[in-house]
Amino acid sequence: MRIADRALRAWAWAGFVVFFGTMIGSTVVDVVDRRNYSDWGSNDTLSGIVFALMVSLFPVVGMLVVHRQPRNRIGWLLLAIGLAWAVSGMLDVYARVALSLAPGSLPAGEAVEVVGGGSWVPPFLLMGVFLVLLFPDGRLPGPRWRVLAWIAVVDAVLILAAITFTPGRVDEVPVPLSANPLAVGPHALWQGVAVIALPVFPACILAAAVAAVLRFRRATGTRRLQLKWLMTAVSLVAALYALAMVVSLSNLSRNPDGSDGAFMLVLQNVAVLAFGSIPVVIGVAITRHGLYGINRLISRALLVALLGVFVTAVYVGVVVGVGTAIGQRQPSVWLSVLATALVAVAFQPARDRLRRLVNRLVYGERATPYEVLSDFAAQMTGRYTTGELLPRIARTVSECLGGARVAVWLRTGDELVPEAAWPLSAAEPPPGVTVTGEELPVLPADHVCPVRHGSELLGALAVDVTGREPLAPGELGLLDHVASQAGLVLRNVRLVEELHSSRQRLVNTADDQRRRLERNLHDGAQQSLVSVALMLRMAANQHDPEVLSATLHEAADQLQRAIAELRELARGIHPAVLTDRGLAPALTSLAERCPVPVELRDELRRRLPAPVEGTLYFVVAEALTNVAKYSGARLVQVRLADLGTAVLLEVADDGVGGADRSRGSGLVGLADRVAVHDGELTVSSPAGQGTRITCRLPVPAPAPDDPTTPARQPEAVAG
Amino acid sequence: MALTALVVDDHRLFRATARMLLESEGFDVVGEAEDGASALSEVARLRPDVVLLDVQLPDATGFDVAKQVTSKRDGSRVVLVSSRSASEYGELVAECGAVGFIAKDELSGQSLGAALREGRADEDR
Repeated sequence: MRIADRALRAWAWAGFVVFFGTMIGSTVVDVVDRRNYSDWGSNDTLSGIVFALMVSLFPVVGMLVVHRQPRNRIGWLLLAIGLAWAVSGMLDVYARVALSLAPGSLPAGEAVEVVGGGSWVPPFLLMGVFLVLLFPDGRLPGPRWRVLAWIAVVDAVLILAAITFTPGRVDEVPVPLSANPLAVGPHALWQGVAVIALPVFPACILAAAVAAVLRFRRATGTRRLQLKWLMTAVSLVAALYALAMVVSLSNLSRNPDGSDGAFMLVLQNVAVLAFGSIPVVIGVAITRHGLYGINRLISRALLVALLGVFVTAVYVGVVVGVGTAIGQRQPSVWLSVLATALVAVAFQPARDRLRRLVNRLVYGERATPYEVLSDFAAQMTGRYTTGELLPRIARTVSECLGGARVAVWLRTGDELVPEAAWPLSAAEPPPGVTVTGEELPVLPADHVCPVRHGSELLGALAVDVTGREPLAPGELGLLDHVASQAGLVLRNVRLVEELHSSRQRLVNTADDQRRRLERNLHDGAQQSLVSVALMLRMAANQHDPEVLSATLHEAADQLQRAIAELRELARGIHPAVLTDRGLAPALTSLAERCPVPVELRDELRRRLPAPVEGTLYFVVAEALTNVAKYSGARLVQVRLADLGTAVLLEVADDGVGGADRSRGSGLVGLADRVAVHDGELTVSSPAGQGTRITCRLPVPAPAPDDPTTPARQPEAVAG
Repeated sequence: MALTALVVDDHRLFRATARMLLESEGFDVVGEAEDGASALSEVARLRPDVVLLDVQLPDATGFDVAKQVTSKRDGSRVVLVSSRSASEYGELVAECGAVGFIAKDELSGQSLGAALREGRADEDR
């Protein structure tokens, strides 16, 4: 039978309330009954409260997790840990009331006290072995680990039994007993059990840690991230405990009477509290692993830990080391002051060095996001060529993201193409993806960041984290930063590419034109002239005057045709009328020869630089050729306007429209030609609504009294 | 008996003029073709003594057509014509099996006859 989520939540709340009730009761009794001592190294109220707080974190987090995910096994395990502590607390309260606060008021106080002596075992079993072994999915890492679970359980039972049944004196809170009321069997038996079972317990905890490490090494994605969270906390706790142990063994922080000094007390409480970080990170790992950057946290924690080690080392070195060298038994105030001064002076440089070290450990070779960004900025200053730049961007970002696969996609026309990737791979790069408008299309990657300049989509940075941890928020932020900077880079790359291809097109166009010219000469004028030569040769041998006359007439006609063809060709190369008389007569001549009626409106009152006139002429010539060939138009309007520092040319027809700039090489060639003069050519050709070609070319502003400005008729209509 | 000739060129004007010229100088122009494919079928059908073959045809080069015509060894000899000069083609003329090359503007019954004679002299040697 499946239990409803609501019922599960209700049970969780019930357990939670029991835990807190017990915890509060236990703390109150603890404060009231001062005749206690704690296993946690000190016997002051502060430590008791700190311990209670730490323990509370387990069920609190467990409750939060279960409330959100009622079937999360780790949540229930955390709650169980809380309950185990609650049981321990209950036994303690009972024994104190029965034996200390109101002696004789409750039965079996002594027996409860004995059982309570072993009550630390279940929570430690759950925390030390099962939590580590089952995290993060609540299942064993593999079937073989079941053995460890059983060994740990059996061992815990044995320890409990030994504590409970060993005959003889019981040294427990609140009242030491002279004989164990629950004693069973001989003392030696239980002592033997204890000798064997006690060392196995930490060994089980260690084995569980090994299981977690193994699990981490083969984990990918979210699981890996979750484990990283846990391991970070465990490492922090271990480091703090190690530090506390070093300080404790060095006798450094000890009062003259042998009790722990203030530093030691603080350190111990911090270590106990740090233990509470374990449930906290578990909660974060389960419910919010995507929201915080674990690497950032790790680097901070590691830095704090290393600084702690540094401060301690200086302190121990100066106070104990120097103190011993000069023969002082007791820690000297002056040496303490000296150590403090040394720490104060060396703290800043040490912190800087340690931070670099930590960053290198956590982020790898490329270190921090800041370094990546500054390195990136340096790359853009032009140290690298375009060809090197894109792979370098991919590599830089990849190194910063811990080696994730990064691809730089570049937009060429209406397509995004993977241009560079890091790490290099022999695999075939994915095919290009079509772009509609300025929208970023779906790319085959886990994280894609568009690269734009203004609103123009220039490319994208795509990160693949297959088999790795998902990107942390900080890393995503970094990706955004790099992408925003890459906008400039890709724009430059694109400009260079465009320049390159437009140059290529200009050369190709010129070659095409030459080939066409040769073909036209060969097929036209040359054939006519060949025929004329043959006819004249024939005429030379002709004796019949009539045939001779006919042949010569035929030859003359052929020669005239050849001349006409040559004239037409010459005009195609560069019309003399344009050079001699300017744009208006040249356009009029074009209009006259166009089979579709042309309405020419020329508002230009001056001569322009020859290259500009040439470009405008050829734009009109190509446009009119297209109109005649494809548009089916009944009228073409050509308008030329003088805007002072630019000329605007419009050729609009009333034909079928649907002209595609990318398909017709003629239009592309014209666009290149216009671009050479920093001009713009736009083609608007919606299907069924005619075609409008607009060309805007910058020109020098007219001189105030330009003598070359001829008076012209504003309008000419030809057909 | 007059030598029979086939004129192969994609320009109608040239074919007409060449026919008139050659016929005025005693050749018997038995047919015309405008591309490589029809040239080959006309050669097979008419078996002309000489094929006046333009180098630039729409579907093939004159060299390819010449190779196929001369490989059959059924008596048709090929003289290539072009409005370009022979130097532009170099070895290609000799390698395709044609007996000679005449620039179009130098075509006449005389030059054609000379090319055929020279070709025959080469064959005899």
